[in-house]
Amino acid sequence: MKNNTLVVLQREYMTRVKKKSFLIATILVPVLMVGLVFSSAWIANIGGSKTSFAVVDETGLYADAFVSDEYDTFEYVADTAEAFADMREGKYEVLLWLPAGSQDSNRQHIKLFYEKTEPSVTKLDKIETITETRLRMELLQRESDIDQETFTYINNAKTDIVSQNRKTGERSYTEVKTILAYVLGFLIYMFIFMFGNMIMAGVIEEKSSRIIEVMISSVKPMQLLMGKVLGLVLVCLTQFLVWIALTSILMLVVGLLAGGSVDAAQIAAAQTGMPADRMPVGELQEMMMDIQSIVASLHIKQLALFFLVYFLGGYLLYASLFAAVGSAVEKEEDASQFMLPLTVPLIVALVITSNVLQNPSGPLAFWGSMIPFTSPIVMLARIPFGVPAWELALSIGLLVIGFVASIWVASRIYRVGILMYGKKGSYKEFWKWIRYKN
Amino acid sequence: MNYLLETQGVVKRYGTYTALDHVSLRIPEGCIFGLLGPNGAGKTTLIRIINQITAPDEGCVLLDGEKLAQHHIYQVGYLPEERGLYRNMKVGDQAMYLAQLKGLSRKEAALRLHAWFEKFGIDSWWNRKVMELSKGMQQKIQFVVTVLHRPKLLIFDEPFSGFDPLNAQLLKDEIMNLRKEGATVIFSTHNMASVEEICDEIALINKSKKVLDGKVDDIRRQFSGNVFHVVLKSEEAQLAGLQSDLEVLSCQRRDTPGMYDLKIRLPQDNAGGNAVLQALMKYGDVKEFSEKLPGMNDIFIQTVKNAEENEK
Repeated sequence: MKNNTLVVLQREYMTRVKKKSFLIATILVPVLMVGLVFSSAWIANIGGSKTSFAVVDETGLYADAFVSDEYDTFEYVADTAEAFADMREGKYEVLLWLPAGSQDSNRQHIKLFYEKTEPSVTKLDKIETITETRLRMELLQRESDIDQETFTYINNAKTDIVSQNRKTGERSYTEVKTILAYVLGFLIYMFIFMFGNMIMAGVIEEKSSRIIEVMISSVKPMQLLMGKVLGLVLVCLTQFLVWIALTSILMLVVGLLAGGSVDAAQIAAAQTGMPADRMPVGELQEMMMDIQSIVASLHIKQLALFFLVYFLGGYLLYASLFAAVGSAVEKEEDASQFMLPLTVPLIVALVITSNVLQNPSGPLAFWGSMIPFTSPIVMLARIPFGVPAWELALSIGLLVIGFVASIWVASRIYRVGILMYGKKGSYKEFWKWIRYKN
Repeated sequence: MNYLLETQGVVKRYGTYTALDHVSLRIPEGCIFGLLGPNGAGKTTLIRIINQITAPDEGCVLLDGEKLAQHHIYQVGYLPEERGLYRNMKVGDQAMYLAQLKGLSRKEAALRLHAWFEKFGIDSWWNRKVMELSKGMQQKIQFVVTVLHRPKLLIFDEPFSGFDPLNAQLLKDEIMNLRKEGATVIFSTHNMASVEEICDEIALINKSKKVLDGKVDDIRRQFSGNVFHVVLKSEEAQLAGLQSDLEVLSCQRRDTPGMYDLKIRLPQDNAGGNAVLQALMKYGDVKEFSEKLPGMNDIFIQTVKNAEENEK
């Protein structure tokens, strides 16, 4: 008899894996991921579009401040009238006007005139940095007779914050972890929804096509339910595995093909938004070291393990309930009325997660990561920041109790629901079905 | 007599509603047993109990003398009234799946399926999707899957619905064949003509209760009121004493001179038709002598009506 769960599981797995949509998703996601990473590196490498500036400096302070580079060209023009005339001829795209009148204060007004395309934020930042640096230097030299070298030294002053675990000596990368935490929580949310809906659609198909009537004499409802739920788990584990394998292979292949032009260093550079060839070699190496230590501090293996644990727990909890909802309706449209109690906790979990990122060990984070309905999302978001072992153990323990209970409740509703036609389910009915004897 | 299936005082309640009220049936081995009753009488509930889809609240079910247990599902084949298939699955895969659920190995299932499919002339459909098939085709596949694991007990719920007369006959022949090979069949239908044709015994369930059961012939005789239809060649004068000798329900002269249509009820103490026949011979030439049996249709309607009147 146990065999029948296996037979159902096999069918669920095979029909889903053979589907075109599965194949497409399995191949497309890694391609997109690799494409995204490399294209961002590539885009950073080629920089933005070139803009030609006409500079009209009426103050005389910025005489040689603007130098053409491979990204933009700057040409000094005598006055605005001439510059406008040149612009009309198409010689310049943007007129950078530094009007006189504010040389003696610490404010410089700048006006940009453009015709077709607005200068991007990056260009504005660049111009701002150039003018501010020059203005500060001019002011300092006027007030205190400072030399160029000293000024540059002072102007480049910076602070670095490093937070470090006193016991393990490990650095923490809070920004990276914050992003990662949210991404992980969101992934779980997405997968639970996606696979929950798949299960539900499957159950409704069986009921509305009446194949259920044919099968139910040879397979117990519980076996059918478990076969379906576990079959789908295997499908998504397969998908995860293929994604990981395919992404790594693609990364390697594309990396090799692109050879020297795009390498890991440039990908790293892309993430900081600075072109690799503009970074000093020492800084680049430091960057690589940083990335390595970030990766090390995340404990990828441990994180992957917990991702799997919480995904499985959350999936089992919700998928069985989605199946129960599916069993109570004959059409997918009718299911929405019972979806609310399933959707709300998931959305609440996401809301709690954004709070968790600010306060990873506050009371909201704690309770959110204990209650089985929200813990798969909330706890996963907490894990990168470090969670005491006893909390993890308690949370997982409660999750196990949670999904065992939800499977029990779901199977009670399911076994009655799948054979109930013409009668629409209601919460009152569900309660009655749960209490029916076998 | 060996009973393949026995239900003893089976009760099933859903909340306050009683779906089955102390239903006891005995189904002999090798018999085709008609399970009759109006819609909503409780037939499907009883069938679901036999299939162990639900369990009775009271009473028990014995299969082959054993209390119904998990392993018995492999000895039962059930073709439900409302039946479907996965629309997107290939016919062969689908049949293999359902066969494996009945405990057959892949190899055995494939072997038997191809044999059946060839017999029904649908083997070329093996790799087609179910949604491309006509309803009749799907019904054939469902039938094959129901009987494939050679169950001792077959339960057919409205098996002929959706079949054209030709295929219905094919199915009927197959059911008879299966019986010959030793299967016992429970047959639930509203088609009373097919009950008369193929059932050995029936049980009639109305409003959760069994109101009638027994051999089809016995029941029809029981409802006939022992009336015989007689065609007699005689003369007016000769018939004079007939009324005192036998209970004549009606006597009509035919257009042909000297031919009479009679309806005669057997006396309670009488041994049977032969005595009547002997008595009749004194009054003329017996041309036709036949027992007049009511159809199952009439019996069904009459029984259900009586049951309803008794309730009032």
